[in-house]
Amino acid sequence: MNSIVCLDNINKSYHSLDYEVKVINNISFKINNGEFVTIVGPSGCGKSTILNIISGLDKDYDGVVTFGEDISISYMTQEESLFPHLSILDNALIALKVKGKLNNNSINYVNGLLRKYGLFDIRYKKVSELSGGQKQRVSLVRTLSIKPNLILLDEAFSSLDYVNRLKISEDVYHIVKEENISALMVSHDIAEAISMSDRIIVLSNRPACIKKEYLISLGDSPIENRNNKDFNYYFSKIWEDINE
Amino acid sequence: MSSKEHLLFLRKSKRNKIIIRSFQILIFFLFILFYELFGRNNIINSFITSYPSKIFSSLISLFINNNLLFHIFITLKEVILSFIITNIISIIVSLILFLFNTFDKIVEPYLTMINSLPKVALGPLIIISFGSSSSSIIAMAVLISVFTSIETISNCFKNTSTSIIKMLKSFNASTIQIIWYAIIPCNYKNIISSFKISISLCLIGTIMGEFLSSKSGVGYLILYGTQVFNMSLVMASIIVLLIMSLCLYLIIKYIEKHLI
Repeated sequence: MNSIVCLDNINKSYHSLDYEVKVINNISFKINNGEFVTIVGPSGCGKSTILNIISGLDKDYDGVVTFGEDISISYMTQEESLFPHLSILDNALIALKVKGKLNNNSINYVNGLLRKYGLFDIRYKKVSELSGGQKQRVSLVRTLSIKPNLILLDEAFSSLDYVNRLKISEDVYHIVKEENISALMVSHDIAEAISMSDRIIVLSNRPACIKKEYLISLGDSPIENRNNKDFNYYFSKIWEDINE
Repeated sequence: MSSKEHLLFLRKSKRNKIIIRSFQILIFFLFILFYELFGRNNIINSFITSYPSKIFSSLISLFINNNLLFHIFITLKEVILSFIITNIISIIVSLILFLFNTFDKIVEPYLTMINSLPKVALGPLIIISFGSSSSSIIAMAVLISVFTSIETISNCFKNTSTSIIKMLKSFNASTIQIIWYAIIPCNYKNIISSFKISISLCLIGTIMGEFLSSKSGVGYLILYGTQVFNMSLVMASIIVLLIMSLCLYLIIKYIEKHLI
């Protein structure tokens, strides 16, 4: 299977005048085409830093990151990053505008996504008038608008209530699988990670290194996967790894 | 169809609005009434403070004999020009400070130092540099307002949501795109708030400039009135200034309401 991104011996430290903190220690892994990978680990171990490195937001690291051909990355962060003064449609189109890819076809594609997520009829509403779940859907449409082949999800559903979180994780999973997109998610929610992923990478405490990797093979629905007989097995194993 | 509770709520908020407006008008008329009574009966020194009816007749005579509209136009022109110059400079400098963090740190103590300097002390220097003309008045107004404006706007730019900037960067947005899509539009409201402060400071600066060197303008009228001990003229000019200040504020508020 071809890999879409490959991290080779990544090391990363944060510096201040008084001290240096090593956060990532020799991490190497790759993500294959169409694969859904989740990174879990203790709080503050450097999970988000890995996403920042892959997305190009953080260029100050040692090691090599190589990408597959025609890579197009979209990043969905844990913080709300919608423009409150813009409409749903304008927010959804912002990535296309920035990338200079705004045309009739791309607008139609975004309108299709908005229709799919129940936002089309309210597309001229300002995002400040939306609920948390609707805002997250707008972020998702924006993330998908550029037709990425790798999406990075940094605790992307953490601000949602439980029901919306389950619903949106189901949506994201199906988009990733239907569109053959690869996904790298960072989550502190072990259940969410098991229910959505093909593979889970467990990181150690700082400086983070890969402690274990699990290949997950459950069903095709994250919500139903939570009732799978193997779910608890994975959960207890990963729980032990994180709290060891 | 509104519910009974909603109608009650609407009635209550309307009543509250009427009470606030009534008290505002009542305070104004009581102030005018007592001012007139105390002035006429020499309870306050009417030579210094004058009183409303005298100020009003002074206003009428100013309008008929001294070309009041011309003086208002001159002051207004200087205020608007200095306001435009101040805000263009402030937005450009704030963007530079936002983009170049090291430069921001280098100039920070200098900006604070200049901001705390009483600009009127630079008056003689301004008159020598720009001559005794409206340019020196505009320069004074700009000097008084620009540093406060830079500080306010640059602080707003620095506080722009980091998650929005991070999101744009993740789509490989250029610096110009970050400014165009995030820094300016996310701070519309803050920039307008800074306009509200800078318009008042420009008015203060213009009057100070007119005190230093002018042959026309509302500041000139105040200075002239003081020199000839015509306190009614001084008070009438101050009232004109208050009305001007209110009108300028309302114009910016209108822009805020209808354009943003």
